[in-house]
Amino acid sequence: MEFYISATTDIGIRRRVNQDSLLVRKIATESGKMVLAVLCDGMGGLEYGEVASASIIHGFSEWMYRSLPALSRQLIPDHVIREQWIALISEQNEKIRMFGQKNQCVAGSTATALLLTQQRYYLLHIGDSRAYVLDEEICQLTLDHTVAEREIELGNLTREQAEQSPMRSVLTRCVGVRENVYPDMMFGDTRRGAVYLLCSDGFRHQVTPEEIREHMQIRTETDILQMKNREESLIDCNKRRGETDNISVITVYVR
Amino acid sequence: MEFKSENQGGNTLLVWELPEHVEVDETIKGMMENNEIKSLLPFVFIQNNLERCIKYNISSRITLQQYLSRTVKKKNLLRVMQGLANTVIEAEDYMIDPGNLFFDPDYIYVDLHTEQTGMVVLPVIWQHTWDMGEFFRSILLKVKVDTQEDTAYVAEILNFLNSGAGFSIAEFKKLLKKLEEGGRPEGRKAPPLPKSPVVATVPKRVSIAEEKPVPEKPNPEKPVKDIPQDAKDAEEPISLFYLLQHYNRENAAAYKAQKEAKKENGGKKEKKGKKDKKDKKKKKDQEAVNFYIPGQDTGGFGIPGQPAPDDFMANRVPSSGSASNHGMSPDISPNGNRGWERDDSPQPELPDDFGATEYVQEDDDNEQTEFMELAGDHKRPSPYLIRRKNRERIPITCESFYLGRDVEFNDYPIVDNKYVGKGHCHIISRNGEYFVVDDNSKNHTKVDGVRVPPGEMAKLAHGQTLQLANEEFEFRLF
Repeated sequence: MEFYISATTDIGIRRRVNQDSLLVRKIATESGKMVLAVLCDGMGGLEYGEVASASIIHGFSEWMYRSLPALSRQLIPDHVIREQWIALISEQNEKIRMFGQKNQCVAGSTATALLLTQQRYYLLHIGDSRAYVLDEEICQLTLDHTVAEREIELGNLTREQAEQSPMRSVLTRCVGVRENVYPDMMFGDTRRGAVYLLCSDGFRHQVTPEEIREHMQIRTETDILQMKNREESLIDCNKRRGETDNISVITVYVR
Repeated sequence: MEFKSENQGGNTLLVWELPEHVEVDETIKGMMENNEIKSLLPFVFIQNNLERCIKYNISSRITLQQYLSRTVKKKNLLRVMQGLANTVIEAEDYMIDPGNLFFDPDYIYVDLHTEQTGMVVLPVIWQHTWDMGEFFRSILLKVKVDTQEDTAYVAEILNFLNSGAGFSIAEFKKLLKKLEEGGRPEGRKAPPLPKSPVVATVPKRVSIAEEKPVPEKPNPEKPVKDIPQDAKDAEEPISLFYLLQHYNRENAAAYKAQKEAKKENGGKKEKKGKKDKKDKKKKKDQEAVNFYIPGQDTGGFGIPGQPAPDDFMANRVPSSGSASNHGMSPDISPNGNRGWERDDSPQPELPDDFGATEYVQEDDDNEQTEFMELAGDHKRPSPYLIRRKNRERIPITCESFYLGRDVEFNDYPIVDNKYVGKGHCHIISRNGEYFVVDDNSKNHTKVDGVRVPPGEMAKLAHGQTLQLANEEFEFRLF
């Protein structure tokens, strides 16, 4: 399988600082090509949000150089990624938390990390950034860690009500705030012909999943070349519809 | 002595049907019924005409035998042994003779949550003496201790048990206590845990109206605050790996100087001078700028100055708000450039494939014999579970594969489901077939919806659903 990657971030129409941080790397290993994509959306206002998100990105980058070579000699067991990434996130959580305490601020970030290999994908998620997989349909791989999502699960809100609720952006989990951090881990088989998309919440507030799928689905060679344009087009669409937050997206097409 | 297992709702019971000739010891029975003795399993006495039985509650516990079949750390083993020693002493306080306790690891139960042991007490009149020294010796000979730790304590306990003098439970308890405390140098207590800060609820996202104004737009030339590194980091030499990651003129010069100094010193570690420190600071500043700073045109994470091969992707983040297309097009951007600045400074000595698609490989030990896979090996079943919730593939890697919530005890800990027991069940293989055994779990184990009675083996076939409380897995042989 071959991977094609693209990423775009935009400060948005209102913010003074872009607190989103991104990493996307295509890597050749003994087991074939892989892609590591990580998207973090800093929170809390001021400049510390971007410090938190950048720190997590840095952690994953270091992991990629330090640990991935040894792992990539063969099919990576799910539990190995789970153990290593949970340890990584816990370490970052402590680091950011200590930083926040030292500077008397709250510095936190979401984190959504995706490793795509020739056989499997491994997905870590905490917060309200999202991961989708799309081809003929669009499927959300992650569950938002927000108060609104919890209310939906409890049956107190419908999904439509939650979309409009101010609680939609209040996080129940993120990196760097609480003493313990509990990310979700998801796994699956890498699908040829699919597009894997990571995005911050700013990217999907004003557009529907169906619009994302229509824009980002890959059907032809031209579509591959247009990945970047399509991302920017959707970002512009969000901005025109009044999105004020930072807007970020990473796209990976598997051929 | 024969015991049976019974299920009543959420409780698992161990049942002993009293033989006809056995007389109940009313003193012990009364003591147990009127007191809560934590180290002894609670029981109920049931009589129906001439049939009498005692039912012990063993819910959510695993046997000592199962507990010891895993690799056990020093602190856990000492805790369990102390628990057993305390049981004997406590029982005597309630006028229960040690002879009335059942010293069999298959019928001593451990609560994984508290690591409290629970022993079966036989409230009957009988004359029996247990060789407690032999009992503890047999535990030590069966247990798999963690060899990563200092295992001298095992020898010390065995020496005590083999000393020849009569076994004294009080002396044994003292020894265990001494060994437990011997984990830290004498006179030094463990440092107190830092106080956790008051954790407020995760704050609501601040809308722009509530934000304090940022004094100035972040300057690409100005170093951006990063999570502070340890002071030690500043003194470390620049590795080739670091240089590859953070290549610029200053780093290249510092690396070259470092290499030459190393040659001069004959491999001795060089002392960093002021100039090096200055370079380090500059490098650190540069590091901050070269890292992923959103909204800033920093040159990205790719190594500047190197021609990119066809499929190398620079993961540079373009400027905020810009309509331009630079940075991330798959092969070529509309204006034809690759999106990063060229650096024509003299290059350090770098591998031939520098700048190519990143190839991550570990050091290859050419001395090592390669493992040759024999034909037909791949046909051996490699059973695994798929956790339905997140599609995680969990290979079953040993003959007794334990599942449950306890992180240390289980082969696959299910930490995010409070309905799964600490030691919920285990999967065993017999003659190429696989079975699941429920370990007295509170919320039960099921195979394709059918509950597995505690302690019994239920066959697992390919494609069947294994359910632990409300957590579902698919069992696969290949």
